[in-house]
Amino acid sequence: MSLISLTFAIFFAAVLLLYYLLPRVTQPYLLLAASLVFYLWSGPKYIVYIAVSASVTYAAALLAGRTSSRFAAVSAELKSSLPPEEYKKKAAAAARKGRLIIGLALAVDLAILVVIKYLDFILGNILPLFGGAAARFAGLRLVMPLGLSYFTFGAVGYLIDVSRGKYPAERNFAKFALYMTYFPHIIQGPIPRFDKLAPQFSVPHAFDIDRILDGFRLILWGCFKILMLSASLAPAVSAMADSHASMGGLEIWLRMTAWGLQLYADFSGGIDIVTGVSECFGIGLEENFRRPYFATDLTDYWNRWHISLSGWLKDYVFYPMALSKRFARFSKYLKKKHGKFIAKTVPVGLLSILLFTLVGLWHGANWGEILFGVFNGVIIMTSTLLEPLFQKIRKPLKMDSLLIWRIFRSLRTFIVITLTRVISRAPGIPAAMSFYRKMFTSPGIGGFISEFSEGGRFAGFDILSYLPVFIGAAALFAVSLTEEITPSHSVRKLLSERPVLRVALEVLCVAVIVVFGTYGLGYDASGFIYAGN
Amino acid sequence: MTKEEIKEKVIEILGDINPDIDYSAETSLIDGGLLDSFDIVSLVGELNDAFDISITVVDLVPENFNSADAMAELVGRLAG
Repeated sequence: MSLISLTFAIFFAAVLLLYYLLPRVTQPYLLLAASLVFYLWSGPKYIVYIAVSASVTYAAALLAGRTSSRFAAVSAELKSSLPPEEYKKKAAAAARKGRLIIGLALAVDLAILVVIKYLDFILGNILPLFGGAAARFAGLRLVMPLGLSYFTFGAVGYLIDVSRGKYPAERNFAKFALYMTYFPHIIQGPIPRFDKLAPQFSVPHAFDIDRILDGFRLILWGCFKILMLSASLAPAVSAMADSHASMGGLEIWLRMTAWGLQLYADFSGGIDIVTGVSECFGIGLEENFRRPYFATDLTDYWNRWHISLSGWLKDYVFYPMALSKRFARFSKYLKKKHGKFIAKTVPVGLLSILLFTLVGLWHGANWGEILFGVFNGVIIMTSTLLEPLFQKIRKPLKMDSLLIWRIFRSLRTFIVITLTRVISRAPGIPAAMSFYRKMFTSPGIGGFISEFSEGGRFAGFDILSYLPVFIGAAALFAVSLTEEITPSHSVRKLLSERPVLRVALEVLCVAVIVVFGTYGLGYDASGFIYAGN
Repeated sequence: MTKEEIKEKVIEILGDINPDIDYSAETSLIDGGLLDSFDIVSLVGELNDAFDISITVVDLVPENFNSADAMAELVGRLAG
């Protein structure tokens, strides 16, 4: 069920109506029923994966929690009756049992993800080495169930949190199943955190017209981004796959910039819609974007782009590894041999490369995405190593306080991220190498100008067809700039103090979408770029 | 070690990470984005060594690292 469709509008309206008409105690159960209907709509047989993942995760967390609470109940008695060594052994055995249960559940959750999303890629790279029939194996070609990566990461985070004692295991299966399947976040995130989301399901939500209207405003803004920008840019971006051989460097730069804009409009627009939908139920979702194209460097960019993914990787991969004893020993060894600076930067830098390889793998099981991740990690590691040198240059010139330097840094970050995306967006690694060569050595300006002067066409398209893009980009830039200047106030909050202007802008927004937006027959709004991950 | 002594040592360690921040007054080192994840890892290693403690992932919440006071409190708790 596409978010921008009549079916979804009817489904959402019906759920919203029942949510506030039925007794408040039924609200979480209604949301669970709605989430299951939404999930079944995407393909009834795929529900088995999320059902297995939710059941195993729920049971394992509960079982591990019981093991530790059973031991805690007798721990004082054991401590006084047993010799210290014997007591330590019992405590260690109880902890081991808990870890084993959690470990097995993690294995099941990750196995579902790996088999469905990555097995074909792994086999496709290994089997050809054996030759013969093995090399001809075409792969399992399993269809990805809706929100596979999102619900797996949600389950893994929950299991690790419970095993760390961050919060107790949820006893109510319906509430846990709702955390896993909640329909606003299942399509393209944000990746849920149990301690932030689940408590909101347990609170009754009264009908609040202001909050609901605010939710609808966010939905409208999300539709604007998608229908004005993402959908309008799609033809220019997808042409890269078919006609890349004839493209000059400048055209590749433009199409890659269009891709950056399309990706952001599509993903953040989708997140705005689901956040708005969730707000109508009184349930807040995690922030997933903070004006990423205003980032001052690549690290800053990843702190602003798909925040729920980078936050998840930090909490469950980066910090556990960085704070491990082995890592501390490696840092100490480097400190002794090469000094404090190397000890501080190299191990964490290497960890960053690993982390960004995982970011690449998240985006897709292919070498282009993996190299995209590695590329980002290597740039971040290199810039961290060179930071003291950069500081020596910047400080005497007092560059950090200059507006022009701030603007330059954002532009530079956009160019760097655009360059890293070439490797994942180009149709294959050899094409990506050809893209890089052309982008820096043969701009092909002549062909570009003659195409424009002969027929008013631009990169194969009528210049007027880009009008929605210019309107959409201008609006998006104005909103982002306002929020960047006053980060504590969203544009929604600023406009709440000017109700007349707000109504005028809302009407204008709808009118602009109706007149210039890309929708209707022939447009497939269901194809969110990030969906199905 | 008294709390004040712990805080002094914490500020000394923080000064090595970024000398441009007034650590005795700053109260949103994490929420304000003044310390990034690289800094945190390095800081935790230094604190573990200096006070012979073991800061774990569970302790890595902004409330424990937003100010030198909060860090001194965490160190005091783990050392005690």
